[in-house]
Amino acid sequence: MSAAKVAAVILVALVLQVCLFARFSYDGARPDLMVLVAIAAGFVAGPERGAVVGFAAGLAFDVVLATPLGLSAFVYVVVGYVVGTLGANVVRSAWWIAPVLVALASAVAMVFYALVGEVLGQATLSGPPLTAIVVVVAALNAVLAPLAVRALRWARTDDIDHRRHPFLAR
Amino acid sequence: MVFPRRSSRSPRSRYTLGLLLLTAITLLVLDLPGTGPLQPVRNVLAGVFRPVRSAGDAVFEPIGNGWEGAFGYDELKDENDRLRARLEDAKGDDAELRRLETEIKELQKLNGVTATGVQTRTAEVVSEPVSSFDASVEIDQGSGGGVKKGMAVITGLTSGPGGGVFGRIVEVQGGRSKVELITAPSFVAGVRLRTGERGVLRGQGPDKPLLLEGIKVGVKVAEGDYVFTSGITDSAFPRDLNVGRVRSVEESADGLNQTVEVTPLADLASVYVKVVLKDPPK
Repeated sequence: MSAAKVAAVILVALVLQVCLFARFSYDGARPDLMVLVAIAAGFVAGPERGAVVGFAAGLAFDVVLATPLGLSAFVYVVVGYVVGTLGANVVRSAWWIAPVLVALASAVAMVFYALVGEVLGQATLSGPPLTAIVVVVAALNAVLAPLAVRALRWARTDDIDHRRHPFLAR
Repeated sequence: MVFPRRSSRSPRSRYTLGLLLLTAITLLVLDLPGTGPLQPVRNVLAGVFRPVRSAGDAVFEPIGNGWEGAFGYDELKDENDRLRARLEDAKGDDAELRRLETEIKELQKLNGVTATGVQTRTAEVVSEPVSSFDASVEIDQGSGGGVKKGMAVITGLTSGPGGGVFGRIVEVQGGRSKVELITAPSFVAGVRLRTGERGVLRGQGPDKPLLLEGIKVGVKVAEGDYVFTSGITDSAFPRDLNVGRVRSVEESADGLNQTVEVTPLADLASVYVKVVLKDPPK
């Protein structure tokens, strides 16, 4: 996986999240593109790289949030890893597999985020209704899933080249 | 088609997972409230991202405005109604404030205390929360304008402590600062009632009343009473900033204290706010 391409995908997602999607809120719930990046990375590149990309995406998001540095990174690492592990056993021929998996993973990720935040004293369960957050994030991420998967596949293209060169293969 | 990944649960991927989780936990511990070794790192990273963000804001602002214009009419009407209602409220508030001013002047004469002016710096809210779990906004004043971490932020546009407490500065950069809203669950401030009884005020989340703790049973608290900052020694907040009005009073489960809910006086959707330039405690 190309680090530069992954960094570019994360940066674009962060700019879209902060400058565009954060403007749209329903009942206080806002979209979360960074978790979409972590999920798509797990789906496309497996658990290990899903975890690494999830960590990077979460850390980038943490920089612009007021929550403690590392909270999003912690949650997205787990999300990327779990999606990568589960995604390995999923039949992917149907077009709707990615949106459905992304929606489910986004919903679980938001609940997990709220629980971890609550344990760390951030009172994340006292914010906007969790159901609204789950619905907004899952629905938008399902719509954007094909784009995110395509972007992460683009970031993964170096792998194909590496396979041709056994010394570069991981 | 099935994509088997034999390496998906390999020791190597578990090792990577463990390493990343440990790194995230270390960062979390280092950045918990009360500690600040990562603040310079945050500031540098945020500084690097700022030009990109400014460019993104410029590009996407028309889309955001279009969205608000298309779907925000009802909200605007509601907001207008609320503003009218608040103007009505302000008539009573003004009378109450005048009465308090007289009362304070008399007390100051008795105690030989002289009132000190509160210096403020007007700022504009430039960014709303960027995540569902975020309870902070950004203002366009930073360290260059004398803003420091811990300072109080109040609503209003003209100079002086006119509005209610809006929040607290939690992060300062060159030309921007992050403000934790008064309703954030991590917000805590020392306050007092009109009777002089002191307590601790905590946020409970957006659209929820504030919780006033530490008021003993027997202390007279009535619905509608004003709550002010206490200005205790180790608080960055000067005394007598308007915080809110008592919404409900109940005896707590332990039978020793009262549970008092307070409605914030400040409009948390305000665009213009003022930073109270009082140095935070060392």
